[in-house]
Amino acid sequence: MGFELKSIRGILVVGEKTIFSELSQIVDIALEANALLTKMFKMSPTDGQLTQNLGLVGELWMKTVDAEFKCNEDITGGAVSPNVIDSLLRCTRLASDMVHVCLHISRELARMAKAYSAGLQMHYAYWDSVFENMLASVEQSQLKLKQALGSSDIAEISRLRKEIHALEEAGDDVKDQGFDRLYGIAPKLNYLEFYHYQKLLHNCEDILNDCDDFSALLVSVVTSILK
Amino acid sequence: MWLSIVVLLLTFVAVMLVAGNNLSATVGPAVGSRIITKRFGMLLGAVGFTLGLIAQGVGMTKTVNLLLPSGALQLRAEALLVSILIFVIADLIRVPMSISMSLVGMLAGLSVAEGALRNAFYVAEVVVMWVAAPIIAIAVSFYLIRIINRSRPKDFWRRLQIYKLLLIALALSTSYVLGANTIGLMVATGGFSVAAVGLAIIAIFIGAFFLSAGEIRRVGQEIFLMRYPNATTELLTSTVLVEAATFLRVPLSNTQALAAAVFGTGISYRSKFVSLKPFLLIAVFWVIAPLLSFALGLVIGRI
Repeated sequence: MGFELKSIRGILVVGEKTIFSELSQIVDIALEANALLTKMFKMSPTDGQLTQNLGLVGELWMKTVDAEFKCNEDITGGAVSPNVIDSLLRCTRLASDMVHVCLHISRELARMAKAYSAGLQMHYAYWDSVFENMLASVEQSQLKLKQALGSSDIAEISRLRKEIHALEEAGDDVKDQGFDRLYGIAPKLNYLEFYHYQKLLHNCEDILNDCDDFSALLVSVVTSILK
Repeated sequence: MWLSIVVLLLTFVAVMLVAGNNLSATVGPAVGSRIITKRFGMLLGAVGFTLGLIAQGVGMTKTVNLLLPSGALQLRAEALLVSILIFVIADLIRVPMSISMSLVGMLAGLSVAEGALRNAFYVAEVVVMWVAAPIIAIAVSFYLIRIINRSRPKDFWRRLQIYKLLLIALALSTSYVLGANTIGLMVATGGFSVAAVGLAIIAIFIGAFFLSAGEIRRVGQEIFLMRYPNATTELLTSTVLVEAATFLRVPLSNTQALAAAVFGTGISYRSKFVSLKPFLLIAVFWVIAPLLSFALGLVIGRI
């Protein structure tokens, strides 16, 4: 009788809703990683906390791997409509990628701190404000994603998706302006400095892209299961 | 005596095949949507078939009495045997053939050959139902989907939960009406008795648990890989139509109503492409199955 009881219990659970809540937990981790990263940008290259924060982001990544594995398992084995399985799996990948990119950025910052001791610059006021702006957009996008994942109103999810997309486009402009500036001052920069800034620009934009793609997939998942 | 046993055995085989083959159509949407497990779906379907057979199956005796007034055991055995053969051959060559349609055609053919068919009005009633049911199913499912898609739920999780519960209830009700109509017709053809019903119930469970697995997987994964509103609409439409037919004591193929409803929901989406060819092929066999069986009945009856 075990299987019947399990099936009856499963009937009362909306599998897709459970997955949305698990995805929201991964976005929470991404928000934490983003907050740590914002702090790291303000730290001095000689500050020991930089390495400490890198360790914390690493721990968040390990948490994400576990959460992603569980979420994927629930998507493929749970009471989820087959129509949305692929989209939900992609959502999980995008959510975990947000944390993974944060880990990349924090590693880059810690690495560049080592180059600082060799006389290279890792902080310029202009660049700090660029990355601060981009990470603030990332935070806003992730908060909106969380709101969308907790919503039960299609109209609200569609509105949030548009707002996230607008943030991504604004981030794109900031990145482009950053690249224009970077190429303008390229002759004055060491190769490592150039590489450092362009990598950070690309990475910050990647997180915004992930948020944007994630929100588009959410709209498509909700539409697919309802219409 | 031996003929009675043969008829009982043939009824057993026919019910087993119908239960195994049609379970996928009744619980396929719920299993395919992964709302319930395959085994739970088999149990749900078998219980539905059984309840339908016990509660309303006896109503199909009228059909058999009107189509085969002489009621001779040999004719009943011939009708069941040929219907089983047609069903098995059709299944082997992957042709969509309804066993209830061919059984009705066969009974009418045998009756005409015997010169015993007296109620032509009832035959006309059956034909009208067979023509009207798919048209109604297409129209109802078409407009139901339009209405559902036009409405915007305030809480879509709540709506989703309602869909899931509805799909389970409809899986049971569709199985129920199939048990009352198609399986009822099989048992009524063999002769409705306590022994026949008892054997039919055993056949239902054997068919559901041992013959349906492949069909459920195929139908659930390939055909009913559909959205919750579509599956709900299709099952609801076919349940209502088959129950109405059962109430009027007219045999109606559950798969006929369901296939028409699938087509109706498919064409309700403006931006979706619906392949007309498979549906037309199925529709052609709705005409061929009873006519071919009728012709076979005529031939067998005159031998």
